[in-house]
Amino acid sequence: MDTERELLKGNTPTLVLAVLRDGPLHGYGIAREIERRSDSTLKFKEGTLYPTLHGLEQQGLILGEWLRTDKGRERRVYSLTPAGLTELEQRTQVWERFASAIHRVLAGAGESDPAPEDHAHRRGPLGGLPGPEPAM
Amino acid sequence: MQIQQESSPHAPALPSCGERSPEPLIEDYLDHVGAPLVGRVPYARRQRLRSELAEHLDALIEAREELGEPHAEAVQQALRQFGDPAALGRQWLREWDGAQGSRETMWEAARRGMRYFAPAGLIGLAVMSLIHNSPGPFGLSLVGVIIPAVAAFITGFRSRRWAMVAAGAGAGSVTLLSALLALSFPQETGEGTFAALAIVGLFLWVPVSCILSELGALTRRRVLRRAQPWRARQA
Repeated sequence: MDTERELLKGNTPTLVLAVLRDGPLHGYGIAREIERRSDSTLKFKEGTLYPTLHGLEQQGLILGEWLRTDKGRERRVYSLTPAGLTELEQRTQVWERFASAIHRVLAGAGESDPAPEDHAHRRGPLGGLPGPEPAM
Repeated sequence: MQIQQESSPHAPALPSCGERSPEPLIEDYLDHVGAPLVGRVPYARRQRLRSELAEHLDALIEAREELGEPHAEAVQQALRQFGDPAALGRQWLREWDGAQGSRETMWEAARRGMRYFAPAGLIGLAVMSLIHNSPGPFGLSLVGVIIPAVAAFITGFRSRRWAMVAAGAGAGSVTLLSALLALSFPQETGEGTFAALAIVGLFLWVPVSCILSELGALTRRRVLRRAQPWRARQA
């Protein structure tokens, strides 16, 4: 769904920082960990991780290191920097405030009709002038 | 296959894999990812990105094969899971440009020119003033011309955007400063010096600096494009 994709695109850096808080990981590991923690709800084009990783690295929020595997191949592993941890905490606070506000607005849309003594201020079906009293 | 330095105990174990021969579909995919980066990102950096993406793709394919998928299908699905290669390349280039300062505004470029190019212009002007007051060897006048010219070229070479703006702002600021000084001290500098400096600066030095700066920027792009191994093999 496009809405989900857009939401995920904007929050991928935060998700990467959150995953790296628990320890260094390579790109494949980051993708799998995000999928695991979200119960496969958050799925994205995994190649898009790498521009995000590059951007975070340039900002000094994560640090990438090339490590040699047992087979002699090299793999890039990323870890969170102190600046990255601070950034993650700030983003978490912002997200929690934002999510709470969205939830309150969405919950408000499902409120029941206003109390009978509030008829003078009752809006019509389209939010305009009050309509006729409903039949009892 | 385990990473030697495993400081993260919860890192998912990568599927075991041996050395694989280059997969044509993967190589083609990676070529498409790298295409927008050619001439903009240094070769070594492009290769590092390519290695990283190849490793991730290998891991995806291995994971699918371990679930029983045939190799060809696993490759197709892994590439689909990775995303459109051209879009990925463009997205990576945007991050690279942003990190390298290519999102610099025109005003920031002008400030950069005044900060780094203007001092070279002042040095050149000082040398020319010295010669004007007490004529010296011809080489000295060349120095007065070459220093700002080289500075203009280097300003352009190091610019990702707004090369002409940076050099123009630098040259313009020096022209303005020198003309104002001549206006403030007419007896020391001589009659008509203000007008001469303003005219020479505006109609000669500023345009020439802009052209040299743009040449520097073009040279940079050519140097980046030429840093490709297949061109070396052709030579």
